[in-house]
Amino acid sequence: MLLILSEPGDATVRMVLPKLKARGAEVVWWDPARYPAAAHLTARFKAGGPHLTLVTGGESVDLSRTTAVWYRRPGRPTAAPDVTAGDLRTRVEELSEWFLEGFWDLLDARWLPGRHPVLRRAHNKLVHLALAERLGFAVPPTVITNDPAELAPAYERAGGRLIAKPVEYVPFEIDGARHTVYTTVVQRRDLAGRARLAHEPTILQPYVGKAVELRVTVVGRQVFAAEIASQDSARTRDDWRHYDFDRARHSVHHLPDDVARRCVDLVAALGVTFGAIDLILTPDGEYVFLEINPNGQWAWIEDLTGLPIGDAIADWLVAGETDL
Amino acid sequence: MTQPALGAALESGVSLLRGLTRRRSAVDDARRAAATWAAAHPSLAAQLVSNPRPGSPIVDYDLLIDDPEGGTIMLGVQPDDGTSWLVDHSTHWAAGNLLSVDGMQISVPEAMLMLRSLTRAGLSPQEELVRFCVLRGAAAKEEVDLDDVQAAADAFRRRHGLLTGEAMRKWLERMGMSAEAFHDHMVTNAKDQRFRTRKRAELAPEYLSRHRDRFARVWAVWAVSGEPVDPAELDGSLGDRWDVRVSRVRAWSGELPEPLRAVPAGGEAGPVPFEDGHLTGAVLKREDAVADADTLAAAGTAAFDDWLAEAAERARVTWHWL
Repeated sequence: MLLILSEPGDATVRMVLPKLKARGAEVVWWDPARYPAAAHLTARFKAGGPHLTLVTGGESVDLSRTTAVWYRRPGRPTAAPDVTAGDLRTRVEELSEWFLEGFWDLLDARWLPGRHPVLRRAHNKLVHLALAERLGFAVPPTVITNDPAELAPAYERAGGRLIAKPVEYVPFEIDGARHTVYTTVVQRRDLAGRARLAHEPTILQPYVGKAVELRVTVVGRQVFAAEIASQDSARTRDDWRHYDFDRARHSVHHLPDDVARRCVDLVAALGVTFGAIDLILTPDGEYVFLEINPNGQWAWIEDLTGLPIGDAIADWLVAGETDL
Repeated sequence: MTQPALGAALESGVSLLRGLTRRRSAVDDARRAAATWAAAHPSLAAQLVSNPRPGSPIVDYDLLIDDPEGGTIMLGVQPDDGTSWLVDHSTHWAAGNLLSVDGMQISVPEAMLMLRSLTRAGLSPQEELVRFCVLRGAAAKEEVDLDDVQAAADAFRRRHGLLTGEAMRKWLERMGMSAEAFHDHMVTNAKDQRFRTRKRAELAPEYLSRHRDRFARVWAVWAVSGEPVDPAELDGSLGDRWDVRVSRVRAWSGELPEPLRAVPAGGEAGPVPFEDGHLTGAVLKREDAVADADTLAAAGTAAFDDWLAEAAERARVTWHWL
């Protein structure tokens, strides 16, 4: 039995679900956000190993039969509506998170992309930058700091072409409207704001010239490389996440074998089974590592390039072997 | 100005900058404050420069003043307001988008491309853009092949007079668009067209049965004029009347001016007030609606327009720049 942990509106799961059904898989798709308000979970400890049960919507599911888990976009546990006191809601939800972390740990199954603590570590840019460098990736000389005194020297070392980016995506608002921190090119006058650096850790890297950018999706040991012509649009030149699908076209890219192997090695070394890796191909033909998102989106890449990532995920989930 | 006086002026200028609110909505207030400051320091020829950051409500200010020893001094202050550098340089989530329709983001470049195709009289560009977006969302899953894409490209080039390779090349250059991006754009157009064709065929029969009165074939003549015209004058004897718009058409009954739509064969209407003047008309011949190919095509077009208008009405629309 396959267990998919994700929110009910997850379009990516909807893409893969028919492929799983076509492969004859028994699938349970459940969102932990329903716990404990609308679902019961029970862990029974007995000889022969723990027994795990989910009761939801009037049905009981023996989760001990789970062979693979797809940890996609699970919601956070939610207290029942009648738990109204703020501190009690917080208590319920924190306890539930603790419980779930242990509950999932007991599942003797294969995980895609990995269990939560493993994912959290793999997602950390400090961790994966260091690992990528050890594995032989070209990595921009990077400083991650909240020391204001580091900004001007980094700018000078980069020859006046410096970028800044956050260590992790954390939502925030300015004047009530959601804002996003993209990769930001540091202008000379921006150095005047160096004191602001003290307020959060910031990644400082020299601007890497781009021929194209690459989104490499690794599923198990399979590698799917897509090329994003980010330099064809003023909008996406510094950060393709500004998206301009008309101009910044997506196409299949053939990675050199050594780079592809390094991508697989990185995913494996991080202890995960999936990874969305961002690389730059420089005008000189060098592949430069930027970061890996071990639970990154891929559906739009499949839509635009036809790369069969969804099939690979379905295959991995239904396969009995761990070394697909 | 002496050196100590300059020091005091610089201190005062810094104090001015510290007090300015770094928001687009506060730039006018900042200019007024700077003008007052400049008036108090006439020898410095002070000017405030405001620099709103793209995609952000945040504004930077610089104060330019004359250096008594020659040249210009630029003062800039970044107060420590607890906002980190990255947050201070962040971008509004929809900065590059013109609008969102049912969660679908339409970027400014996409909207510019759509605007080139706006054709409908009686609709504002905003209404047409929303309809375009609704159509695009509905058509996204259509399957098209290379022939469809080629047909879309041919139609696009005919519409825009891009009949030679050179004209096409120059157009792409002007639009900053690669050939591949144009291909993608035509894939979208082909999907729109396929969806439109399919939906029209699907909606036409029922629409026709519900609106037979709109699809009678009619032969009609009418005049729109400032002064009322007698029906008898429609036979061509308009005499000394000028500035009269006369129409003599074969059309669907639903396309006639409203006062003529239900008039039977041989019947007349008017003169009645119409638009800014008067209308007088006659229906010469009328054939009841039949479900032939032409009629179904016309019914499908009307049904699709109604469907699109209703879908656009229901859509969740957010304009990010209006």
